[in-house]
Formats: sequence, structure tokens, C-alpha cells
Amino acid sequence: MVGGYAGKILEIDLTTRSLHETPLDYDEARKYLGGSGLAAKVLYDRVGPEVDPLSPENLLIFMAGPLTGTPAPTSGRHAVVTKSPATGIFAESDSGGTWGQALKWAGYDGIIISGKASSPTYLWVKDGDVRIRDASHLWGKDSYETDDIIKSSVGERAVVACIGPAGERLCKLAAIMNDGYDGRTTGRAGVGAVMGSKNLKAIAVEGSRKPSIVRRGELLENLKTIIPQIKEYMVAMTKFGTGNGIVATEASGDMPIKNWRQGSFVEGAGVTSGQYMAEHYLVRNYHCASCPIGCGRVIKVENGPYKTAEGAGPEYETLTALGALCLNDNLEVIMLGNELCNRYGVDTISAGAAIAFAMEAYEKGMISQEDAGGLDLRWGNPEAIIGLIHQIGKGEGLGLLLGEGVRIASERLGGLAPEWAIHVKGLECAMHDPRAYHSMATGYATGNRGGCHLQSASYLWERGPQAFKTAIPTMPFEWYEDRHGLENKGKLTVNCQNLMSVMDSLKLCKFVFNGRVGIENFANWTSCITGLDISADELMEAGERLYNLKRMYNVRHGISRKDDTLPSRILSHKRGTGGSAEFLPKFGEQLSEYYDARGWTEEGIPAEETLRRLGLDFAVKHLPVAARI
Amino acid sequence: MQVLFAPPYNDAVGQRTVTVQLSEGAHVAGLLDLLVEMFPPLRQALTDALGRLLLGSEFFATVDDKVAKADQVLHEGSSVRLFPAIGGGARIESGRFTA
Ligand code: SF4
Repeated sequence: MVGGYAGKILEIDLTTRSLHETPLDYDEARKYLGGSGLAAKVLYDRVGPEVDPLSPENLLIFMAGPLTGTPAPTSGRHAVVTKSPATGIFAESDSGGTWGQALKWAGYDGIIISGKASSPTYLWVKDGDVRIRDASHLWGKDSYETDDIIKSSVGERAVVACIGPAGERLCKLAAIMNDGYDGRTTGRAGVGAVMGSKNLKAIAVEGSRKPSIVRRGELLENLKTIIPQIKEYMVAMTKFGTGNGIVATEASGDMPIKNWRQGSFVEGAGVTSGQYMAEHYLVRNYHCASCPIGCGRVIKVENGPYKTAEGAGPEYETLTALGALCLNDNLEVIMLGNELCNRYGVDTISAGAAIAFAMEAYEKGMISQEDAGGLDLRWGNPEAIIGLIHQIGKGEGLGLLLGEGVRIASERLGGLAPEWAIHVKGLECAMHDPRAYHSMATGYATGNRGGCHLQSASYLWERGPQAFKTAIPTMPFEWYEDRHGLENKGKLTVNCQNLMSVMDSLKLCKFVFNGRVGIENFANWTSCITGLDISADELMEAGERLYNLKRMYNVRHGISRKDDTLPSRILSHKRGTGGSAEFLPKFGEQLSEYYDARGWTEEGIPAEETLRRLGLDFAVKHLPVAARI
Repeated sequence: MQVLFAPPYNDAVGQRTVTVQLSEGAHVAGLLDLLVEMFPPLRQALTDALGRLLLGSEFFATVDDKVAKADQVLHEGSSVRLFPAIGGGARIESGRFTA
């Protein structure tokens, strides 16, 4: 018996309203693990380059990992995988909360959705019983309302993943929200638009079938020491959330400011920090399932123009995207902006990036106040930030353009606008600056979903040797304290990406590293839970396999070195002041080192022997002709 | 007064808890100055290249479980805790900004 997995995948064709269960192929599961890895294989096999992301032929895949729904620390997560309407390539997005756990306990490792419902629909999945229900009354409702209405119908124990109005309107910044007012999100790459294109408003799940844990005693014995250790190392995160380090982020030059063109925001950082939030607005912490850390914030602004409901507060990415990036130092505006993004179902990183882009276009005379529906888009103007979120969420006015993402918006505006559209492959860059941590240059440039910090998260390693050693003890070089140096940065990105692929597949939260745990612990937990003997080396090889699989998906869509680049602002404009004032990443050399370490050609294509070594022989036929010679 | 060191500062100090005597009216900055004198490895973790305390950026102090500023006055029986910034923001270990 293999533990951890539910052993079944639910497939639903919304066009024909048919459903069936597929038994999990355990050989595939060992190779691709679960979560975004296993889902990537499904996407690779079934959604080719000819499929339009918003067509019924695209798949929307929700997938838990083998650790989801078990006591493994921070494992209460699930992945959503699809072809992205924002980038046109591979998309994965990850969320915490309790939805993934509920899915597993309902008896499924994943749900694969194809087709398009003839009218608004939602799914109700309870302990193996699946219903396709009418959602006409939910269409147009925000994500918090949708959660309330569905629960009033199916019961409070259900956990709901849903889109808001942005997803219904196929906005390319649309997210899929889960866990209602707790505001957990699969936010990136427009996954909410794919759900909207299928006329699927929500999936409610509930279950009582916990997965078996084969070596339960051994696991619990291990967790007895590991959980207190994680808690001890992560006091700051528990107390102040992921925004605890905002002041230091600003000081080190890692925080993008004023659409990535300013070096310092000292005072603004202080009053938008996790500490400031804890002191003035924090109601309580929020813990995703099986998480001993609880970095989530539940906040409330009681009065004033930026009053909020009691619900999810912003984390670091949102604090910066709606704060420093737009030169906004008003935390209440950020918190209301966060709530509105959650309600509309909009990714806060991309929303902040789109607003900052619009503010720069306004400053440079390419967008007028009239274009913005009367909003004065001067930097930091609270009314502009809130107003533009409404426009994006409702698909009105300038929001229609910004809702396409900054790449398309800049192309439509024309002129020099692409110069200040900060994205990679169509995905707006996250809130960590490669000019501060140079490995993030290849991290963003080669991220399989575009400008994402979590595909490598290598900035975490550039910060300190201890986390580095614990996370991957076999890292093939020593840590050195030069975040602005070039040496080994390409290799660092490769190793970190492989590790992140493992975590995205087992379904673990990236923050758990700060508790001084790493690949050895993950192998131990996975072995205890599944009963299979899985070593750290086997997991790292699986991570490498998965990264190559996703890359090959993108290669089939025409991606190569020409696309693996950064916005010119990051490559060639210095921050000017602050902790990374004078530094630019030496990108070309780093990228070549990266390809070399990956076993890819100089054009960024996996070599045939690399694919064969990783057991990806089926992908060889998809190599471009030139790469096979 | 008791000072509790969260990891990795406990490694620098060699213990989890330290009891110190401070004069009446002493404030948090004074306590921190005393601690870096007492435990030299802490200096690298808690100060920048110019010796300035990185309170509020690289690390935090709480007094009786509330975030404390440098000028907060301490009282007999106060419980002080030091821990590093982590995660989305700060550097997670000792060392100095290289800029
Ligand atoms: S650390 Fe935060 S985001 Fe990660 S699982 Fe825990 S509560 Fe969720």
C-alpha cells in the first residue's frame, strides 16, 4: 500500500457534464510526485501548442501532493496548473489554506477539468460524491460572497475555491481564491480567467477520508522535534507575518520602488511593515492546514475611508506591490486594496505592477486623467490605487487595458511604454530585485511561468549560509557572502529551481526553509507517509526532471534563449540609492552558466541526453530540429 | 531582567537566556549595547559596518511580548526577547550589507 495519496483523480468534462475517476498511476506519481509536477505531465500529454488557453480544450487541473492533508509541516497546499492566457505558456499557481486538504480528504488527489459549461456552474464534491450545480445566482458575486452563499447551501464545513468577477470577465490578472475571508489564492498567470472561460464559478469540497500514513509513529516522532524547531526559528514570521522584514528589504535594495526605478523608500517601508500592521490592525494570525508558523494575517480597519471587513491581510508581496511599487505609504490603502483584489479575484502582485505601470504612463503623458475615468494617477495617490483596482476587477475603463497585463497593455499603448512594463514572458515580476540578489536574474528569466520569485526563491539562499546548507546539503559549491557577485549564481538558480519543483509537487510552503529544514526532512516525511523509501537524491532528481518537463512544454510553444531575459530597467538601470545603488546583474554570463549546469544548449533548449537521463524520452520528439543536430 | 535569545542568536551567545542587571531608567538601546559588549559574536549580527544597531530591520526586540523601540524604558522584571527578521523581507542571518 502507498500512503499519502488518495489514489484517484476526478475528471470532469463540463461540455458533456460527464465525470469519471481515474486510478492514480503510482509509477507516474513516483516520477512526477504530485502537485504541479504530476499536473504538468497531464498538461504536457493533453494540451498542445494548438490549444487556445481560453478555449474549452484547455485543461484546468487542481492537484494536491502526497503530503497534502497529512501532519507534515506546511503541507496544506494545492496547485492549479493550466496553459496561461497571460503568457501563453505553462502556468502553475500554488495556494495554502484548507482547500487542498479538503480535496484529499474528499477522496481525490486532483481534479482535471475540461470543456466549457453551457451556463454558470459550480461543483460540489463531498466524500466521493460529485455534483455539477447551477451557479447562475453566483455569477457576478465576489469571492467572499460566493463563499458565504455556497456554504449556506452545502454546509459550513465545505471549503470553497472560486473566481470573482475578474475571472468571469476573463481578466488576465484573475486569480482563483480559496477559503473565503481568509483569502488564500492561486494568484498568478491568469488561472482565474481559465476557470471563467469554462463557466465554472467554484468548486466546493468536503471530506472525512484522511489519507493513510504508512509509518505514522516514525513521522510523529520526527515532528516532535522538528515542529518546535520551526516555530522557534520563525518567531518573526509568526508575530509579524511575511512583512516582518520590509524595513530590511528596503535597506538591502531588494524592494522594488516606483515601478523599479527608485532606490530608497525608508519611511514608507516603516509604516507599511508587518510590525506596523501588527501594532495597529492585526486581529489574529491565520494558519494554513498543518502549519505551525501561521504567517497569515487577519486584519480589520474599523473606520475611515479605507475601512475593511475582518479578513485576510496583505503579505510581503502585496504590501510592496500596492505600497512601495506605487510609492504608496498608506497601509490602510494597501489593506483595502488587498481585500478588493481578493473579492474581485485579482492577483495582487500583477495588480500592483499594472497600477505602477499606469502611474508611470500617466507621468509620461501617455495616459490622461480622462483615460483613467477621472482618476489622478499621480504616484502614491490612494484614490488612484483603489480606483484602478475597481476598474480592473469590473473590467471598466482603463481597467480593461490593465487587466490584459503590462506586456499587452504596453504594446497597445505603444511608443516607449514597453520600457516600463516590468514582466518576464508576460508575467509581471514579483517583489524581489535581481539588482539586490543577482541570482534572481536567472531566476526570473528562466522561470517556467515567467517573472516569478518562487520558482527559484534563490534570494533566500543568497541571504545566509545556514539555510543554504540545511536546504540542500549536497549543493555543489560553498556559500559565499556576495549577493552582488557573479560566481556560481547560475548554478545556484538551477539547484534552487529543482528544489522548488520538489516542494511544489509534494506541496510544501516555501517559508518552511526558514525553520532550518530541507530536502533531507522532505525525503524523510515523504518516505514515512507513502511507505516508499525515497531519498533526498531521488527527490532532487525528480525536481530536475520536473523543471525540464515544464521547460519542454514551453519549448513546444516556441520559448528559447531569446525569451529568457529581463526588463531593460532591471538589466541596465541602476537603483541609484540605498543598499544596491550601484549594482546590475551580469546577466549574459550567468545565463550561460545556468544553461551549462542544466544540460541545455546555448539556445536554452534541453539537450537530448539530458531528457533521456531524466526519463523524459517522450519529449525528445518535441525538440526543435536545430537542437537535435 | 531576563533576555531570551531566539535562534540563531542563542548560538552567538551560547545560551538561550541571560539575566542582566540594568540601572533604573535604562532603555532598550542601552541593553543592546551592553549585550554586544558581553557577547562579541552578537555584534556582527545586530549591528552594521559602522556599529549601528539594526533594530527594527535585521532583528526585533520585544518587551513583555510587545514590539519595542530603541528608546523604550525598561523596568525591573521586564522580559526581553530578541529574534531575527526572516522570510519575504530581511536577510535571515548575520552579516552586513555589502553595499
Ligand atoms: S507559513 Fe504562512 S503561507 Fe506558509 S503554510 Fe504557513 S500560514 Fe500558510
